Amino acid sequence: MALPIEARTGAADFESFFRAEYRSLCQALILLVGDALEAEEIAQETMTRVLERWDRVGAMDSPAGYAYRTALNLQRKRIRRLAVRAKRRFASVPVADIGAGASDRHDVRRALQELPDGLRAALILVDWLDMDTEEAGRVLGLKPASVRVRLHRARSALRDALGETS
Amino acid sequence: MSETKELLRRGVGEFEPMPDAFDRVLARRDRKQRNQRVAAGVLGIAVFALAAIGLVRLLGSESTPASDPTPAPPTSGGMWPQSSLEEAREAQRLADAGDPRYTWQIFPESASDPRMLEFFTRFLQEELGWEAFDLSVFPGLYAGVAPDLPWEMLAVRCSPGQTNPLYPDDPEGRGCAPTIDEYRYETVYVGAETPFRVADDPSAIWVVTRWAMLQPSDVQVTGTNYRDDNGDIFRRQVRQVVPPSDAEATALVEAFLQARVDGEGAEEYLAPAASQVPLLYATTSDGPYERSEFELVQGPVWPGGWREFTVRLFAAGGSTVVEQPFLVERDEDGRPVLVYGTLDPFEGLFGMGDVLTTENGGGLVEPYEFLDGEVTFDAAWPWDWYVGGWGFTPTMTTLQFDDPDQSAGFDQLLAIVADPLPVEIGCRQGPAPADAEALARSIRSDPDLEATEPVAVNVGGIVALKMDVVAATGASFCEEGPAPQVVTPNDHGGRGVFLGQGKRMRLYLLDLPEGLSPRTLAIAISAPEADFEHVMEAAEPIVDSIEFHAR
Repeated sequence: MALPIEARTGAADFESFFRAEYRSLCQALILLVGDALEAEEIAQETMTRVLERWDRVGAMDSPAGYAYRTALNLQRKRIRRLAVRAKRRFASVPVADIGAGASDRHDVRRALQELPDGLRAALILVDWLDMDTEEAGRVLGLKPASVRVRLHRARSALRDALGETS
Repeated sequence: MSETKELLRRGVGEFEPMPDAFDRVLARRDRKQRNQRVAAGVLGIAVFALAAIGLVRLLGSESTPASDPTPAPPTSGGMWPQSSLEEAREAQRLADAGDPRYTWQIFPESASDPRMLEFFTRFLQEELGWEAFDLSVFPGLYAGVAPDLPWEMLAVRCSPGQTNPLYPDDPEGRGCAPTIDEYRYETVYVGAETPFRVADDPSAIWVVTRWAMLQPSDVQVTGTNYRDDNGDIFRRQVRQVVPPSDAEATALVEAFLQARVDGEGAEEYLAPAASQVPLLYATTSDGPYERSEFELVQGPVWPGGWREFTVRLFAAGGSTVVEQPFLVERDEDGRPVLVYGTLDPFEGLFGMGDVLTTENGGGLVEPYEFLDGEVTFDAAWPWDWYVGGWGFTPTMTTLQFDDPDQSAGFDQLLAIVADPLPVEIGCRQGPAPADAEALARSIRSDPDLEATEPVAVNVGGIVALKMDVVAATGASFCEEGPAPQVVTPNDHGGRGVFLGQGKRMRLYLLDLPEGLSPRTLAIAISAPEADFEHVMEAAEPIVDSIEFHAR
């Protein structure tokens, strides 16, 4: 299955592209980095870089694939600087303020964060974004077979961490 | 929906992006461009925030902070100095006509315009009646003024004529005593916009569109602009922290460094949420530390009580020196802890790599892998993974030279391609060459390219053919890219290693020995002519570090 994003993107117009992809990108990054604030910051930087290069990116086969690759690279290279760490800390909401389901959400995010980066990225690209292993491999720079191996390990580890049965 | 997807959906929760996310991206792009134009990099906003310190600081005689709490009642408000959109529209019209009663609301330089400071100062004085205040509460990325549009700002009220005994030596904090109790400050959130024109329009008038006094917090709050887990604004009053004493901070750093020299136990001195510390117990060549030293860079810094230290660890008889910044701060339990990092809000921003740690003055060399570890090499910042999307396939990997002084990104790249194919007219992939020499011949015969005679050199213990390549005048290109291609990976239809006009490429072509999955390898380093030698020099250690690992 090809990137679902491509089909939805349509016109080579950045705003259309942004409207179609931004939410999904944020969601994928939340799963990747475990923090909504940090995820949206990376998503903002990603989209800014896409915009800066839109004349070239917009002409690519898969601008969305480019964006995801960019986001993964940014996440990988980013220093978890003081400001980010501090913002995360200040964002710690008193328990009474956390809505229903937050604990579950945090459990899943924590379990994801315990996965090695490569496993987590493969899981998110395939199981969340519905890429096939070939597309995910293109984004990750891996062979499809390597993606499948990582995927299998990631699923097992996630289920184990959350006490879910397959 | 699959079981795993359902699990992941639980992890995402009810997240919704910021409603103005698109505008923020535009503003972010504009800000970058603007900062590039003024050659001030990302420092423009910081300069503005820092300027605020000097302008609004009101120093009084030595005394204690207000002990009698006089909290202002929670309040909020709307538009200022005009009170309605109609009034603001008229103000815009009159400002366009040069009416000095309204031109003070125009900031031609937008984010970095010092007149914006005057604007907010007038708001705090005239609308809120504050005599003393501070606009630069937190030395972080979101200090004082948020970087994205619409402009958001936090300001704290200081007790006029009072000094702050917790921070007698901090240039900001000493003159800003709390107004509510010993620790808490009246804190206001202010948002400003250009209601009728885009923010970068040098003729647009700015108005405050909303403001609100913030509520107390149960957690220590030294930052300003933050969101909760769902992305909602979750701001509270600023509450200053009692800084760790000199003795506490020094003892902590000493114990931490001794543990690193001892080779164990350093983790217990770090904040639990701290990032991983590179080279915690040994140098990049696994040399154990023999001794250490440290120095105070700054602090305690108001309002978080941070002390920033530079630590140095010595190995190999002092010939290897690792240098890192650390902060001492109090954790939620009040215990002094160490955090790897610096208070400089712009250190280590996107694209700047991990420049926090240096070894013998240079960036940290990091190991890279290609072809599942069959090819390895080392690279240090500003070399980093290519941020672009299509520099990677299973048989191609790309690094970019992220030198902030140059036009990094698309233009300065190092690509490695396994079993590269020549490129024919129309970007068609040519037949697989018999060996590196055949590929070199093919490249030299390509009418779109001009290539030097290959010379034999050594790369990773293997003889390689080295040649320089440029695009020929009038070279053709195809739909896939704006430049001719030199080689292409065999698993990437139509896309490969591009070489635009005005750029030069150094190409290494290798025949790999038995036991490795590819038969040939291309290493292509490209840069604009003007930067070529500089980039080649920077790439030399990478090429020298390449190793091959047979399976």
